[in-house]
Parts: sequence; structure tokens; C-alpha cells
Amino acid sequence: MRKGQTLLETVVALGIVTSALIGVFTLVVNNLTTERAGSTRMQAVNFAREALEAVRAMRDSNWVAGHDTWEGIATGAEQSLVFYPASGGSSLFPGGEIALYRLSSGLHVQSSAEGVQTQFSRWVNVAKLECSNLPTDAQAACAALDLEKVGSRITAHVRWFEQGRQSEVNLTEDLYDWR
Amino acid sequence: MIGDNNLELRNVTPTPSPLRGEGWGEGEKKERESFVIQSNKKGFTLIEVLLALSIFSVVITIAADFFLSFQRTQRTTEALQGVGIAARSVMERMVSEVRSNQINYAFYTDGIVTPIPTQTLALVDGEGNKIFFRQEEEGSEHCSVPCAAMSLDGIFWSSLTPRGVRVLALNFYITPRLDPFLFESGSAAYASNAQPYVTIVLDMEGTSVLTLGQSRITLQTGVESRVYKR
Repeated sequence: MRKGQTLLETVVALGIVTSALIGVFTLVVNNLTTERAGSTRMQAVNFAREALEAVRAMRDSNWVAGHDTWEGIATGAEQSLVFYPASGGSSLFPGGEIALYRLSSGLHVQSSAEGVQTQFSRWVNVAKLECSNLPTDAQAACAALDLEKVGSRITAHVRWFEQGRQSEVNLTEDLYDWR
Repeated sequence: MIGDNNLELRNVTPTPSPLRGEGWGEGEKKERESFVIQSNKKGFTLIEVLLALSIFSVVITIAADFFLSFQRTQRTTEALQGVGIAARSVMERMVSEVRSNQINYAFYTDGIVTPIPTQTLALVDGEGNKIFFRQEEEGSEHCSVPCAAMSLDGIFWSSLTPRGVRVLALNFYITPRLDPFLFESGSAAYASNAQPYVTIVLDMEGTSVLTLGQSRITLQTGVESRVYKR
């Protein structure tokens, strides 16, 4: 007569099979979660770049229109950025982060009048660049010019929540008044 | 030696079993057969077969379900990855072209960018070479599904998106609507006073019906033309 398996053996065998399945399952699900997080991050980076470009366009449009280079780009942390993709132009003002809303056309704007709020919110820091921020070989020449401000360091922040976790991307660009 | 052993083994006469040994009488034959079947070759009962089958089908169903869900998840991951790569490559291509070129205002009716958003992004480089981007409809020469396309003459278009990716929307918000580098002698002023800036909205998804609605990516970014003329 053949001896059957004991309960302990069966439990151990089931345990091994289950942990193998759980392992594979976790791997597959994490794979998808990571891929989704990557897509969201890519969106966030593009929104951050949009903010940098918007501030750069403010400076360049000031040049084109003959205004003061830094008009509308005041130094200060945690500024709200509102820009108008259809009519052009942007404004920066103290006020912290602003949520992005998705319109039915797929365009994302900062107005809550219409559209659906997304998980993204955005703000901009503007810091003053002085001669001490420049490379050492340029500092002497810069000091001779005796400028109060040589440029602005723009940092665009985009923050979002995904599955209860907060993430953030920061892009920084230095703008100078080289004209 | 080994051969001898084998020979020896083959010659061994089997020990008569006490149950099946010689010396059973004719009259005891029927009783003997039934005894052999009962003790040695017992089959499964119907209940046992049914139980075994039901356990087997439950296990197989669970295993198949696991397998299918793994497969579905993997497909979604793959589709999302494909769309992500395509979206990034198309977006970077357009951004780099806008950055290093000018808006071709002459392409638009009366030199005014209309409508907003516009479907075609018309650019021109420093030597007058033209570059166009737009969404090509389904069934056009190079796209079996709606795709993002690029052209150097506005006539022949080539797809920027790979197979398996469908472009749901490709919109351009170009400002200012009038060429800021165009000096109008009539009013003795420039047509507009802002640096050209384009907001690009790209909406794509995978074409596979198995992952429909789960592989959609909308990218939006802004880019300013770096051509400074005034």
C-alpha cells in the first residue's frame, strides 16, 4: 500500500506554488504601474517645459515689444503661472501652485471655468542671478558692469498625485538679458 | 561475472504466491478471480471521478484566469510603452523644429493663423525651406490609422508614428496670429509684438482592441521659436 501525503507536505507544496504565483503577479502588476507612472512623469516634464518656455516667451516678447526685459517676471518663490495658449501671453503672480484643467479639446489650462481637473498642479520660482552665480572666469567682467541683476533662474515645478503618492518634477533654466 | 548473475537471475523460478499458487481446485476458480479483482485492480468509483474532475476544473480555471490576467496586463504595459515612445519621439521632433525655425505665416490665409487651434504647423527655416506637421487622416497614403505626419513640401507626407499607434488629436496653438517680423509699411508698424510661440497638444493611443482605452497618452508642451529678428 502507498503512503499518501501528510497535511504538512500538502501545505508546504501549496505554499510554494502560491508564493510563486504571487511573485509573478506582483511583477506583472508592478510592471504596469511603473509604466503608467513613467507616462505620467513624461506628461509632467512636458508641462514643466511649457512653463519654462512661457516665461522665456515673456522675456523675448518684452524684447520684441521694446519693454523692459524683466517686465512681468518678478523675483519670488512659489509664483502662479497663468498662460493663454489661444491668445498668447502669460502672467506670473504670487499665489502658489495652480491646478491644471483638461478641456474637451485635450488642451490643459489653469482655468476652472470649464474642463476637468487633472492630478497636476504647477508653480514657478524666479530667483535673481548675480555675478556670483556665473562661472568664475566671467565674474570679474560681470562685476565691472556693476549690474544689480544679471539674469533670472526660472524653476518650473509640477506636482501630481498618483495612487496616493506625491511626485514632483523640477526643471530649471537660466535666462539672461543678453540683448 | 555480470553475465553469470543475469543468467542466474533469469533461471530463478518465481516463488509461488500463497494466493495464486498451484493446487487451487476447479470448483474454487470463480471465487479466486473475484478475490483477485477486489484486492489488486480496484477501479475508481463515480463519486471519486466526479470529485477529481471538479477539483481539476477548479484548479485549471484559476490557473487560466491567472494566466489570462497576466497576459492582459502585459499587453497593456506593452501598448502603453509603445504609445509613450511614439508620443515622445513625435513631440521632440516637433519641438526641435519649432525651436530652430520660424513660423511660416505666409502659409496661412492672409498671413493670419486661423483657426485656433490650427491643424497644420507650417515652419520655414533660414533658407526658405518649408516644414509641415499635421495629423493625417485614416486611409491616406502613409497611414492605415490616423497618424502624425511631416512634409517638406506640403504635398508628400510621411508618417512619424509607428504602426500600432493612433493619433486622436494633434493641435497647434500658434501665437501671435500675425507675423511679428513683418513690417507693414502702410501702418509703419510691425504686424504684432510678441515672439512666436507654439503650444502643441498630442493625444494618442494604441490601436489594439485588447487594450483600448488603457493606453492613451495626452502630451502638451509649449515651445518658443529661437529665431530672434528684432
